[in-house]
Amino acid sequence: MTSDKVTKLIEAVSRIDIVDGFTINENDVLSGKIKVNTCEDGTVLEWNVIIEPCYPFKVMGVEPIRFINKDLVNYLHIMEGGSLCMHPAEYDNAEDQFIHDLEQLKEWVDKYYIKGKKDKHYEHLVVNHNPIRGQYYTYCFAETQDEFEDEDFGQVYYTSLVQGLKNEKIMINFVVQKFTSHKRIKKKVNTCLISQAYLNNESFSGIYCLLKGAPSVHNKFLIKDFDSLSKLFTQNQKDFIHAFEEIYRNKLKYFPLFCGYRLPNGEIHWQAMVLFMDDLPIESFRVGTGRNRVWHTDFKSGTIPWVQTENISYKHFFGRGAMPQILADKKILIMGIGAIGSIVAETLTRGGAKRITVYDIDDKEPGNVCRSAYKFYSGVSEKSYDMVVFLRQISPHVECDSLRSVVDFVVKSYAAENKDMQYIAELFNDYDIIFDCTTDNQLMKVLDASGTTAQLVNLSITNHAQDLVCAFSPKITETVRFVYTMLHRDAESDLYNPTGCWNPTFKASYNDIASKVQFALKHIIRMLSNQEHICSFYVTEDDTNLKINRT
Amino acid sequence: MHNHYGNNKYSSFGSGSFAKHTAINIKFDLDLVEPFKHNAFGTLQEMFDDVYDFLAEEYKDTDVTVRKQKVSVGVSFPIEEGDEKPVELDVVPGRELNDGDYLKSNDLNLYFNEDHWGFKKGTNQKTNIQKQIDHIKGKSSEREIIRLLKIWKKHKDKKYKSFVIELAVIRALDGYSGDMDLWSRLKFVMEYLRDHIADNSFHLYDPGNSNNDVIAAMSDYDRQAFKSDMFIMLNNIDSNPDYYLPFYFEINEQFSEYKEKESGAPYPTSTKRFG
Repeated sequence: MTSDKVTKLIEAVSRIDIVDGFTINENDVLSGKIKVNTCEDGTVLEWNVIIEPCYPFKVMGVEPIRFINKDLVNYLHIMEGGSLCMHPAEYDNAEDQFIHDLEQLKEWVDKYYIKGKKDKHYEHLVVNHNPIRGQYYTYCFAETQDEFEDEDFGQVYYTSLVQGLKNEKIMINFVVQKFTSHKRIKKKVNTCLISQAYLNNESFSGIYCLLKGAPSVHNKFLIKDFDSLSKLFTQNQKDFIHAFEEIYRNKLKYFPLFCGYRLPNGEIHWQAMVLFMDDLPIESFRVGTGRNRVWHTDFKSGTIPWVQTENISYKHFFGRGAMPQILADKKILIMGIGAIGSIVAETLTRGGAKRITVYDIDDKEPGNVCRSAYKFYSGVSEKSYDMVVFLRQISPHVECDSLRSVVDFVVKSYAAENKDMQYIAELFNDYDIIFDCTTDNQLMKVLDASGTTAQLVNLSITNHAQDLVCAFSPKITETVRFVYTMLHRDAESDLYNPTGCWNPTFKASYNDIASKVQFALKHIIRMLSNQEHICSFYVTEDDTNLKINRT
Repeated sequence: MHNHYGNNKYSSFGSGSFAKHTAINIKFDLDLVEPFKHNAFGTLQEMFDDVYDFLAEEYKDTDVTVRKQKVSVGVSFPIEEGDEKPVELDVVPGRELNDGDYLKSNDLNLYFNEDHWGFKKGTNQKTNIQKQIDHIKGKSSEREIIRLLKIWKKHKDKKYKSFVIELAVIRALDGYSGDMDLWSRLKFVMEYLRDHIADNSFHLYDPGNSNNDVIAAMSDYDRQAFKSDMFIMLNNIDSNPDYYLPFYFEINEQFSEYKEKESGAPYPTSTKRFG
């Protein structure tokens, strides 16, 4: 883009005129000033325009054109420096793009300046994430089991996640476990709604205060200085910071101060700052005289060391996509967590499952990793242990445990001696849904005959993952036998013999298996959520398609 | 029952699959209707409870179990040597609508002990079981298809009501003029069900009470599931009848023409089925 071209294009657009002509600087950045006629009492809005040399390409997520008017910072979608936040459609060439960008500017003027329109969705306060003493910090928090009182304060307990990296600096990650209110004489614990695995981890301590209002400037930006923030705290809250310091001065190097405020929907959002004991931004002052003289605490002037916070409440964590709630709430047992079972477990967890129990009699070995949901990093371990750890790592909302492998012995030895399967049914009635991915025919038959109230879903594949067979109770054994007889796949040749193992296994890659398991799960999830009629099926594949064949 | 209630009731009679000739096995549950006189009990609930109390008392200290069911009192006799399952007797107490009108109308009020057909516990519904039996009388062609669908329902553990199947089959074959071989009739009925069962304008009225639409009592999900079952079965049988016909309509080994009992297909060995 050149200044001549820009000038010419602007002249062709109605309601926009040039105030200061466009010039180009030594960095090839074009800049100038334009005015937009609001068509209201002859009012015009002036905008500085900056066009980057890469225009119209958006580089590193930054728009290559900016329209700036610092006086409009009070209006929606005007950023801190006065520039209009825009997400323009993309055009093939710079000329068309520029015309469109100008039209979008006019659109903003009409919609937000003239008509004063409000957006339906809530825009969170803009937070700039800066490193504190060379490191970044992030605190994840979730909704709590109880409501908070207004002007509440106390201690926040949190635990560590693994470290990350951002802008070549270390990111320290934490997740909040609970809030203990000190507002009244009797302390009150308010636990975050996350899994026990995270709640039981080692805790560190910090402070939380529920502010009188949102710590915002123009309802858009986060307050940057302590002077402005101070008035949102009660005196009791500020004094508590000092009390906390007294106790933890020699125990903590730093701690977070969580500032909470209510969003329009009633939800509480926490914005944290990290404070270092050796440089606390608080000071004491004296009020009253004589016997009534007391010490109080307030903030010193200065910039607030805000850090990143993330709301991981269930609805946010799974906000981008989850399986239907009716299924997520069910108690699920996954028996057999090999290639199929581990992919099922991972998928359900990512889909928002809340209660999963896994079961397997085998160990996970490095050779399993290439086609299941396991990681090499955890080495050799019982599959059930490895999977529980993995699922907990994926989701803070899954309560996950495992059945001991001796269940196999208990169930089968009981079945061998008893005709009445009521005892076995009771063992499994604890679950709503049982995925049987063991390929253990005897277990399948016992489960089938037990008459358990749990919905059984039996999954297996043929060699080379040619077909996937999914049978639902009742009559699983009959269905599985029927489908395998009908498919009539050659299963005896071309098997893989693992090192030192007497039991040959099937050949198929992760992609071969996962593509079919995911396709099957798409239907299984719909069936278990009453969106599709429950029906046993098998998945086959030809050169172009995966096909579901219902039986 | 006869000795105990004496003049308070009329003669009992069989209903259910045996009376309707739609039983699918040599051993089946017996449904027995007990028509009571109008003045025998103050309320229908008293009638229901009294029959239960009587049977429970009668069989106490024996291996027979007595329990309250939806509209009947279930009496379960223990398994005897050589039996596969216990003998079940369902006693359905009903009360005539007005003094002495049962012999003319055969109308009875049944008591609903739990949610059923959209009615809540404690309510009742008029029915005429004799009319229900008459509705199916002489319809041997329909009964063959009803039995096949009941075999499918039993073996695949489908929860649809036998009564719905009976009425739907009779409706489907009303005026049927196609080939009379078994498969042609069954296929025609299945296509009819596939095309109508989930249709909002499809109704099936109880011959014993024309106000009772048994289709209206089915959930939308069940009606869609029934339609989907028919659709899938027809497609599968069409593509591979040799495999699918015996899969859906399993041969009762006791009546199989093949005297030599087959050893049955082996389970897929572990090298065939993988996970």
